[in-house]
Amino acid sequence: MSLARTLRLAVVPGVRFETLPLDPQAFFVLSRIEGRPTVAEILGMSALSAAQTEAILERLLELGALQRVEEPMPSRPRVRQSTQELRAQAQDRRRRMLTQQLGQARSSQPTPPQGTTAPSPRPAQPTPVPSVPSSSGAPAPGSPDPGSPDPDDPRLEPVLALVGEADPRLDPSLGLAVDKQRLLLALEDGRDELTPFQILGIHPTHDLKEIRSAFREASRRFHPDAHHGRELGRFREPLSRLFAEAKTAYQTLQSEEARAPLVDALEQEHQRRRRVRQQREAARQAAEELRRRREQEQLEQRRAARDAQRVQRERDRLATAAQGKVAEYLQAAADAENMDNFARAANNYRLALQVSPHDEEIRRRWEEARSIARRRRAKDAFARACTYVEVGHHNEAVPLFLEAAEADPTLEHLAHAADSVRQQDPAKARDLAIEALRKLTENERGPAPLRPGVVADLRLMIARAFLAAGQGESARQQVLLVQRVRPKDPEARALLKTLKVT
Amino acid sequence: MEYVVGIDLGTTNTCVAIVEDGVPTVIPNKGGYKTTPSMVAISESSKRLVGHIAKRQSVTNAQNTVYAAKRLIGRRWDSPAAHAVQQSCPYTVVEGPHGDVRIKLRDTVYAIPEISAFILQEMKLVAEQYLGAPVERAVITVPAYFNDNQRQATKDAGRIAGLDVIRIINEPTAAALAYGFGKDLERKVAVYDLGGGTFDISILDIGRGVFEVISTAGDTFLGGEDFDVRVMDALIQGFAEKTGVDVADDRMALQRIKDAAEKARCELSVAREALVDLPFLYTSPNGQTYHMQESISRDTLEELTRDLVERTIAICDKTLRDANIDKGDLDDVILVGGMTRMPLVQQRVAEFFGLEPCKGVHPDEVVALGASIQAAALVDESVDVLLLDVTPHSLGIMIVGGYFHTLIDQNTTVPTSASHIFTTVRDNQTSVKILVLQGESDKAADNELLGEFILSGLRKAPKGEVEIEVTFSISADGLVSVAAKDLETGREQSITVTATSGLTEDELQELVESSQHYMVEVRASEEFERQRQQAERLIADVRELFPQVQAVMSGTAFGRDAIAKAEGVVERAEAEIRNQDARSLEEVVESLERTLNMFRGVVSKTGLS
Ligand SMILES: Nc1ncnc2c1ncn2[C@@H]1O[C@H](COP(=O)(O)OP(=O)(O)OP(=O)(O)O)[C@@H](O)[C@H]1O
Ligand SMILES: [Mg+2]
Repeated sequence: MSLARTLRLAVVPGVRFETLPLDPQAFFVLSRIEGRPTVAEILGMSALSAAQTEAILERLLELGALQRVEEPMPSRPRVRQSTQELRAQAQDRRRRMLTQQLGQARSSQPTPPQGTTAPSPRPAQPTPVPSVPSSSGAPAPGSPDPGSPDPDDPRLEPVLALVGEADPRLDPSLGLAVDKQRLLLALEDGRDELTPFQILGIHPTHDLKEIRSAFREASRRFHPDAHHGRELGRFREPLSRLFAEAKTAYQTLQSEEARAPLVDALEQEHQRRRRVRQQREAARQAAEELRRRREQEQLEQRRAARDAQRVQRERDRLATAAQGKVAEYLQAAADAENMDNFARAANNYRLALQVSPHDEEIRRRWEEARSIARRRRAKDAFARACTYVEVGHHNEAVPLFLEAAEADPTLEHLAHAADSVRQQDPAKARDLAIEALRKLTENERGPAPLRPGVVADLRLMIARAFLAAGQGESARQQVLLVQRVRPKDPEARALLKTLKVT
Repeated sequence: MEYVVGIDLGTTNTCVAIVEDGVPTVIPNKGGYKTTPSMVAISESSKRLVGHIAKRQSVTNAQNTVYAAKRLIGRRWDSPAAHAVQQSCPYTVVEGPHGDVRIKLRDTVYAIPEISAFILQEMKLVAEQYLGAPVERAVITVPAYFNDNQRQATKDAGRIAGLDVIRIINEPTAAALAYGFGKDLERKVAVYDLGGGTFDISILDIGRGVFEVISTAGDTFLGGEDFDVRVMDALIQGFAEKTGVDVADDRMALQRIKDAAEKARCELSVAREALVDLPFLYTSPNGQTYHMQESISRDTLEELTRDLVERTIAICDKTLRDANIDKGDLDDVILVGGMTRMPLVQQRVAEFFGLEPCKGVHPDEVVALGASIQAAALVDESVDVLLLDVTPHSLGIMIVGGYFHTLIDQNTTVPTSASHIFTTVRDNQTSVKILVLQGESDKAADNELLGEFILSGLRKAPKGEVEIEVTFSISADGLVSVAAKDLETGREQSITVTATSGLTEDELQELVESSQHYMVEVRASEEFERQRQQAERLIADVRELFPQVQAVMSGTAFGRDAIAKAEGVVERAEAEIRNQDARSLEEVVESLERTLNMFRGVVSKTGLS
């Protein structure tokens, strides 16, 4: 006889176990029964063999410690929540909390950003860390005003220069930002010479808090866990090593003796830069001074140039005025030329030339007008002289012939002048004759030689002049030449006779 | 999204957690409890029981109920710990084939990682049920002072349970992680973790999301279990004095006393006096029954266990001194583990550190929460937390004379590496055997052997002339690799030292497979259970309507036929429930539903007419 597995049992209320004849196993089974478990459930809990447990249950029923529960189990679902429900509740709770927090954050908007109050105004994370102009330590003497950053502070520079953007070792396909790769390569390249501070990415300092914080940043950069699950390529091994090095650096820098030389070196570099800057500043000032002086000079030069210009302009103005005068003379000259009065024109040209002595055009016109005027005068005088000769007033004709020869020393004029003046001034006559003879020779060789008859007349005149001047031989030559042309010329014959006499 | 859970595999209790929506949350088990007893039992019918059900039946099945398996994990058969457990536990501990420890339950021998795997598998199920999705990866915590063999064994347990253990982390570190997570702290803290089986003390520097372990120490064999033993011994002795009965050989009585001792200890954390009431504790061969009724005061408890508490304080003191940490530099002390509820512990910790311990963390849940945070930090970019942990034991090799040469000191932050140059000790020596060890003793034999390998092909040369550079590396996930290099020839050899969990790869593989089978069975039996419950409900409903239907329908031949059919369906359903066949039961459930609908139709019609 066995108990139905679906039978439910319950402990009889008010029963005093201690009075019952139980063994430990029976008591244990009894103690396990809470509520109204089924026989199957009790068997599952007891860990005794099924037969043993059943025997115990039957005995307990017999002893009146247990009772059968007849009424059916309320078939409604268990009160206990399923884990799924628990999870949904948790999610709901979280969501409510989140929206509440968001609400709070929104309502407290104007207040400064809460949370991360970084101890230093370090920018987010461009590596390497451009270090903070440290406020530690008193400002060194001679440093510029304490409020603004000290330009000589070496801490303003990056701790380590990254490798170039075109470095062939960079691999953008890795799960590591290229800037980070550039830093890692720089660290790797400089491996043996890097100071602990450089490994941590900060400038030397005694500030332990800053060092600790730098170590944390370095850990985030290097520790393999910070890159878990990403493709790291060639950087995997160096990252672990760099992390270990950062850790060692961090430990090393705990000691004042380790820090001191590096911090001192930085300070010395700072001083050196300040000195260099001050020297450079002085040099710059000197150069500035020089420049100013030069500028001053240039200014003065410009001023002088301006003055010169003014003078020039005055001159120009005067010149323009003179030009007016010249124009007047030229106008007058032109008018005179129009009236065929070349003497007056020449006179006006001369006046204009006096004002503007370098004007070659005026000079040319002057000379032209003058020569025309002379030729005119010579022609006039000659004509009048000829008139006097015709009427027999030879003496009156002499000065006129001389004038014509002088104003226009043509062959004809010279010859007539020489002939006419031979009684009064034989020397002059001779000079004129020589001149006339020269011109005659010229003419004979020139393109338009005079007719032989005319030439013969001229030769006779020249011969008379020579004769009068006592140059018999020259005279005879001329006569002989005449005779070649006109052998029976009486004049010539007469002259030859005279010559024989002398 | 894929879920990676954090599991605190405790000596006494196991807890699983997950970071959901950025919030670490403990996952309750099927019973709604946030922790599950780390107990495994094999029932009379060879059924595997884990957690609360295992605990509930432990009194009558003490021999086949394993508790505190963590005390044995990764231990060698000849270790003192294995010896101690063997002395005190009700289950049978046997030597394994590789000098490891195994447990025999109902004629089957289990490796310790296998037992732990049963618990982990249960936690995996709990998480999967809660999340409604498969869980395949986990971060599991171990006591900080665990050596690599113990860690490896724990990892193997995860593997057997079907979990890819992406990281093993230290319990106190995990606790600190949960303590500091989501807060912008800049603090130096001590984590005092006294659980059921182990004690750990860790000092951490927390700041800007970086959790840096400065120093850690502990005792992997000091916890609540030892306190229980003290109380048990006192109770047994008192019982013997009063009744003249020695219960030392009565497994069931011992188990009841142990449970009662623990319960009394917990009560004494709030009360000054506790009553141990164990009726029918013992029946003598002549049928005489004995009850235990003993009252125990807090003072007595403290007297019995003061030295244990003092041992933890001594370890704290040594750690602080070794790491050169001034107690005054500490900002907070975090108490972790159920044992820290004991007033004496709290009082001594407060006295020692000169700080009132932090009350902000839940001692039972904080470790699992921390594990889940580390899991999230590794797989989720948005969780910006970095853990810098240390290696708790020194790592080195054996050198001539059987001495231990340390290469990486304990409390070195990982990842790390170190090199040392060794020379040959014999003329024409062509190979060197390198034994990799872990521990603090100068004598190699006293330290834990992690592995060995042979560097061969050395040049023949007079002794001392060949120089070998040995480089040890510990990666962030705790893997130890050793590379040896002949400096003259440049010849290199390296291995990854896989600490021994006591299982070979073949054995492991086999266990992984059988555990997969088990999972399939569990799923099937769960399915059957659902069907069974539904069938039983339907049967009850049909039975309820039976008299009314009979009254209406027995008048006609058709009616009688229908009633007979209904009876047949109910009988068949009951038979299938006994047969435990889920498939056929499913079919009958459909018939049952039809029958019930028909019955309801009949009843409602008659009610109307
Ligand atoms: N209120 C309490 N008073 C005293 N002790 C308690 C209390 N609650 C729990 N304990 C003890 O704490 C221990 C269990 O603690 P916990 O669950 O933290 O350990 P565990 O994590 O399983 O073990 P471990 O961390 O050592 O592997 C048990 O020994 C239990 O008796
Ligand atoms: Mg614990």
